[in-house]
Amino acid sequence: CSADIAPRGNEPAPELLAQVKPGELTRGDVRALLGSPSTTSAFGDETWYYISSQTTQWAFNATEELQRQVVAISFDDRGIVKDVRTMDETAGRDVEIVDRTTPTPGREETIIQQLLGNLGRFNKDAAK
Amino acid sequence: CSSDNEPDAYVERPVEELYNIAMADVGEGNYEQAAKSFDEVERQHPYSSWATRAQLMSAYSYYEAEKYDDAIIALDRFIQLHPGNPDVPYAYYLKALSYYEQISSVGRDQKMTRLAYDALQDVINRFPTSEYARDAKLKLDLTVDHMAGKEMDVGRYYLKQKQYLAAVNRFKSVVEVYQTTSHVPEALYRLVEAYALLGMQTEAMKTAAVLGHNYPGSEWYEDAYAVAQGGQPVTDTAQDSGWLPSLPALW
Amino acid sequence: QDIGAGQTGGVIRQIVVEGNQRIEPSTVRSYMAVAEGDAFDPAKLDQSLKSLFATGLFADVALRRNGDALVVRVVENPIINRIAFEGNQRIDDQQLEAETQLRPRVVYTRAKVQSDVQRMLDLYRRSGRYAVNVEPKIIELDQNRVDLVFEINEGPPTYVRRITFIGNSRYSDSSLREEVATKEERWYRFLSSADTYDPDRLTYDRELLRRFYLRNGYADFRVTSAVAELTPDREAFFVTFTMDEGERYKFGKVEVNVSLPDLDAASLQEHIVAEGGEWYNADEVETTVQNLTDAIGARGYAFVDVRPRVTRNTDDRTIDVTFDIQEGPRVFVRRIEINGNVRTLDKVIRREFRLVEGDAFNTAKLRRSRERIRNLGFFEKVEVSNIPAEDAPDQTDIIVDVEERATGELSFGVGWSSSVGALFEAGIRERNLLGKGQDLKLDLRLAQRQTEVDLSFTEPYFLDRPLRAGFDVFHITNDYQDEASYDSTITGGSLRLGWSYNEFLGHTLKYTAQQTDIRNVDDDASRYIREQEGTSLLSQIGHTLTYDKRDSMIEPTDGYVVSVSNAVAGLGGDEKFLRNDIAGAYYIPLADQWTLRLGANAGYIYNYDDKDPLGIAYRYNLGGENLRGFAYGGAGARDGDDALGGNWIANGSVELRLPLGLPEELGVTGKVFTDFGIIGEPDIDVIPGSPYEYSSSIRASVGVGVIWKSPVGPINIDLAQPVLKEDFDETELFRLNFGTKF
Repeated sequence: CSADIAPRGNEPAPELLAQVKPGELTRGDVRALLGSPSTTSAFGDETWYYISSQTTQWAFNATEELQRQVVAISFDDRGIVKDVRTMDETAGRDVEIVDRTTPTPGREETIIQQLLGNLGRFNKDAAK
Repeated sequence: CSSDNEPDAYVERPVEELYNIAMADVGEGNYEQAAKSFDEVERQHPYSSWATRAQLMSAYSYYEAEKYDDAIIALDRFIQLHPGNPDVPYAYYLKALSYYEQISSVGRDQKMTRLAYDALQDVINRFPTSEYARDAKLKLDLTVDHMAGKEMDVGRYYLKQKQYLAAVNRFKSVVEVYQTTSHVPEALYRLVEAYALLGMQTEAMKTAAVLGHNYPGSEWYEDAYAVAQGGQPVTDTAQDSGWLPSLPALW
Repeated sequence: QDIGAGQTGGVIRQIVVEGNQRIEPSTVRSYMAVAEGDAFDPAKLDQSLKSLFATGLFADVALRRNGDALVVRVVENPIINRIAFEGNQRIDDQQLEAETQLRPRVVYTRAKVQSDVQRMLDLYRRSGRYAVNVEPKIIELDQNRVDLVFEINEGPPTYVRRITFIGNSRYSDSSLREEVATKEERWYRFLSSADTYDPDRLTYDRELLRRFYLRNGYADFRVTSAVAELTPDREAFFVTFTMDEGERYKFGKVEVNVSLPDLDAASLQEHIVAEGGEWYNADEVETTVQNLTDAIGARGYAFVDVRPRVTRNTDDRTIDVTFDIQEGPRVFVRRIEINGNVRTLDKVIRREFRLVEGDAFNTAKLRRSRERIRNLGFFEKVEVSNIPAEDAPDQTDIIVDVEERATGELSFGVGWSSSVGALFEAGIRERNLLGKGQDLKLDLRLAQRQTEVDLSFTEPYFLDRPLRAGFDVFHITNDYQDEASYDSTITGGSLRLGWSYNEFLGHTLKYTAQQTDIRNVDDDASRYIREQEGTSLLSQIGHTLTYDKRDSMIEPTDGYVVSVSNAVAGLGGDEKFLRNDIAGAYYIPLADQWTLRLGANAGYIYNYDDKDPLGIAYRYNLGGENLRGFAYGGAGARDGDDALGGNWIANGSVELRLPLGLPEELGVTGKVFTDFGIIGEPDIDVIPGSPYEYSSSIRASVGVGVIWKSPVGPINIDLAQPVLKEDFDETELFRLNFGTKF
């Protein structure tokens, strides 16, 4: 029983990526060639990132990343490709995810309210 | 008038008496009964000057009795019938509150949040100088904060499922669209976390710098600085809810 | 009467409002397009007229020019003083009020009354009443007020009395009746509305019939008409489905045609579920599409689009299926928005999605995601659509709209069974606790010889991974006086974890702690029973591996299921044993409604505590349900008339289910069966002077039975004659049980 491996994100085809060389293409060319970037940098010079990975999930295990590719394309101030870097999953570091969250208010139903509230009849207007 | 709950007898009464009964109910905090009494005032004497006032008071009573749908219907009718009335700003404001108090937790459908946002925006645009605009502005910020909370909730889900790209874009939308909300420091920190996990070191450093610049004292910055330097978060992560499924509140 | 074109020009000095009673002049002015100081512009005046009418406040509006004053003559619509509903029994006033828009103190307009009448008719139609008519009546009052009375004549309820099928040569009416959602009226269906007529459900039934036939090879199947005729007395409906079954096809050539670079068809062959020579099955085609999409996706082709091309060759009645695999449009998922989940948490839905934000968009995975959300069973409707993003042509947002349903269930049941006598059952269950997808269930069963209370809770995604974790708490008392002259009370709980490796193979791990109390053993009971009196504590951990390939869990007619479980008792507690069980059932569809079931079961307990024998409550018992023709435990070791059970068992049954050729409506299915089995001795020391009787010979019985879907509820009768038995065995020729679930 083989675990199902799922392709994630936007993996540019190697032969197309090879055509993206510094000093030649503008942002429009890159978009035409590789499609929209998966994400862009939030601050500073707008670097384009093409992020893709392969994840798998088997039996009761949590989802795992098998491999990952991050392609970073930075542009100079004239909007021409300045630098193309590719990183795989080894570049990533294992960071423990903090559990603290910023509080958000909002009404919560207790068990009894729900059990008795909607036995059989779910009052439509509450759901509108 | 009778307070038992069989349908009130259709008793004709002079308008002042009915109105005072209703106000007495309000005084006692018996809002549901008060709403019914105000409705009686308007029903029996639709053309008296009391009727307009009673319409608004009945809406107020429904609001206090947390019957938000009835309050909203009554307020809409008041606004349609008396657009020029001096109390119209209050009617818009009360309607906004009726949506605002039905906002459900970030995990659920945010329809009420959007309706509250529109209604509060309405109050601010129509009556910028009224005393309600100030409170509406305050509540508007909280509503927007709630929308940002929804983005964070989904972002954290993807982060835990190791779908880092999806998480990054959700946290980025908080930083770009909801800059004024209380979630921005955490969104910045989560970006640092995700960038570190993806190995995008330059982005992690830049984001940690922005966080440090804008929120220097926050715990988020302490963690961000540590992670951007290659370490692990420093503040207490022991707040983990443990392996027990979080037992819901029984009552 | 209003302003003619000739009188234009000049400025409006003053706007006078006449005829208004309740509405202030300022209100009228605020809705008009002209104000004091504007010119008499006919277009604007006309627009004012329209906007005043649009408010719905006025029955009539007229504009007149009087010198340089604009006179606005209005006749206000009356105000509704009271609304009353007369003649309604099935739907109470409160529900009608919730449906209608008009309220006391609201302005009365004819249009709103008509729309309310229509809404009330729809409400009645949804609850199965079609012979309703609603008459609005107006009572004029002073101060331009009116009382509005809806006179309702509900007419009789319109149930579905009979569902008939025309043109179905291959499948009987009763098996098709199982497939459709509309049910015939039965008294025990008073809680459900499935037996009331609902046109939407009828269209859904057409789809269910089409899917059923397409699963069984009828590629040309068409429902030509689905008609519901009202009986002359307007009491009920006769629903008739006419259909054209068409030919039954087999799979002909099934192949893959790949136009993706360096991906050869041969390597994909293993993922094809449909095989040449087998009956055509549309579900298998869809499963193959999913398998191929996942398999090719796993090899890095994110944008794969698998399209089945079906060609019929009517001469040899086969269908060739070619799966065209080409590159789909290069579009990515930008955001996934979930709406309508008023109670269910966002992540309970999002975790069922096969796509993640940022992924390559794929229609097969979208279909799969919608199926998985539907299978949660929390929603009336699940609609999944995708909207291209405006600013990026190669990105699209996926919108999920759900409509929640009541997931709380209250159920009752009465019945009788040979093993426990008359019984009453009740249960309360919430399948979507607090919107977290958790399942909480409380079941109660009171029977003559058994009482059981069982509380169980399950979290489907424990620790955010597909791991079903849960606990049970139970209290069961059993009266085995006639079989073994003792009563047993079992109280305890269990913690369980469950997960699945794939669609068919599931695994559960379970720790159980329970206290068993054997009591009121009567004095002349066997000494082997008397020595069991008292309480014993069990602390056991075990696992069960199940491979389930049946076509349905409720009424399987095809496929097989096998389960293996092992458990060890002894981490504390008094009982110390290793227990191993294997059970399996194989279903072979011989013809429509002819199903052959082969069942087998074997179990072995090794008691590694040499001091005390295995507790009687944990021993195997042969007879009763697992060996019809013999009483419960009737074929095992015996002392006098007390059954002592055994430490190992092996039994099986061969059962043929067949229609008895009786008219369809009776809903009677016959069965012919043979049960057989052997059982081991209990590991008890023989008390000198009172040996117990035991024989390891094989026991067998043959029998006939009937399952009758009676108006009272399903009744199951078995008549079995033991053919291989020992003289000391206890027999039981007749077994009956029936149970109605409301």
